[in-house]
Amino acid sequence: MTGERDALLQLDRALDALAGGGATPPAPDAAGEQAAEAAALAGLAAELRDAVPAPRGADAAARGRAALLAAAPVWSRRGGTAGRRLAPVRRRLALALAAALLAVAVPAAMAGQARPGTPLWPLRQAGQQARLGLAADPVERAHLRLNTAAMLLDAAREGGGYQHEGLAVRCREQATAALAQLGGRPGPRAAAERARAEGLLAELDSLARSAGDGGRRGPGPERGGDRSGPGGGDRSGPGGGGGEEPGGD
Amino acid sequence: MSRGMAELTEVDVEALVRRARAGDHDALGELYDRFRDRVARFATGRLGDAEKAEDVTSETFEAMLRGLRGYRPGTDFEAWLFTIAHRRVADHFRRQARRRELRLDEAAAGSLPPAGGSAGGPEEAVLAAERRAEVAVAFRRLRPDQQEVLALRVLGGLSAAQVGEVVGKSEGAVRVAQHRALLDLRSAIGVTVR
Repeated sequence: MTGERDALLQLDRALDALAGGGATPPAPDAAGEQAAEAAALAGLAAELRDAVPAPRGADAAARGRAALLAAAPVWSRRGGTAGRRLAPVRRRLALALAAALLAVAVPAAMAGQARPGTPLWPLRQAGQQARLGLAADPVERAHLRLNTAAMLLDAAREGGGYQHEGLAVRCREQATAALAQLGGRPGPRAAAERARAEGLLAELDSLARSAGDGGRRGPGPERGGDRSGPGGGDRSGPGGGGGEEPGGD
Repeated sequence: MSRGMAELTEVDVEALVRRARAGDHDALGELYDRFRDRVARFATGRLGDAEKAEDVTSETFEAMLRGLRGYRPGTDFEAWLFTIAHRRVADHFRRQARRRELRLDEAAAGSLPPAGGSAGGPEEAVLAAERRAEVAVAFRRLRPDQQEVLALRVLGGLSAAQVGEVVGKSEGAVRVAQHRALLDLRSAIGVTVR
């Protein structure tokens, strides 16, 4: 049993030496029949190796090498495995998506705080227009218009000259349009919005007077009261001017 | 010592593989240069046809290229590469069996390329060529599993342990198989000579 194992190991060592580049198997390191047998078989293995050389026809190796290296850039771009092949594509998509979200979300968030006359105000106004378009209830529509009018009034108060005039005109348009939409609608919400509109118009008149710009007032009656809530008594409606839908800047 | 040639170059090969995985073309070319002849010789031994062996060799390296990133560093690269070659040869035999287009003995006798020149004169060269042809034909007469073991061990230059990894046997079983295969090869040459 041990003898057989030794024979196998001797042959294995001889084949290792052959694989290591030996042209012929080395002489056995132990004398005797087993060693001679191992040497003979290793010699046969060497003959087999000589009988089956690596094919070397017409620069086949050089062609194979060139083809392999030519394929390598494609492989490098794709990555090695299917999952990795998709990774750069996924990464690019994720970056593009993130950039798109930032491009939309950041200005939108900033526009939410934008004031009239600032660069992002048109964006905010577009959002208000959209909400206005979606509101089916005339009282709700009037409420939204009055929100816009209040912002325009605040901005007009802070501004002066041309900006003041433009903002004041648009504020009046919004407030009068809101009053037109409310009309004679009953109910506490309508009454509250009506009072708010009239309060805004009164403040606008007061602002115009203080700015020496009384001629820009609309032809409606004098109005007074608090713009922030329901005010004075019965109002018959807007005095006129600026009844169109809110337009863009 | 059972890893033969692999042990001498294992560290270098690992470094080359790492560089090739990182996209280094020089390292890739060096891997090809280092293993191409051994893979081609193995394929020639198994297929008995130089042209088909070239195809299988190319397929093997293409597959290596595709799978290189999936190769786990620290495992035996040579065994991994020859496992690819082993599968490509098996694929070839499957395709061939479907087409029934080739008789292996004819291919072995007819298209094995000549070995390097003999040191003797023309008569010795003829005798050496005859002997090589006898060995090649006898090799083709071995059982496929014996051809596989000898092709990997002798033609591919793998160690017994590496052959075991490729064919799914223990190192000891490979030692027994290679011994048995060489004994049978010797017997087959005797039959051929008679």
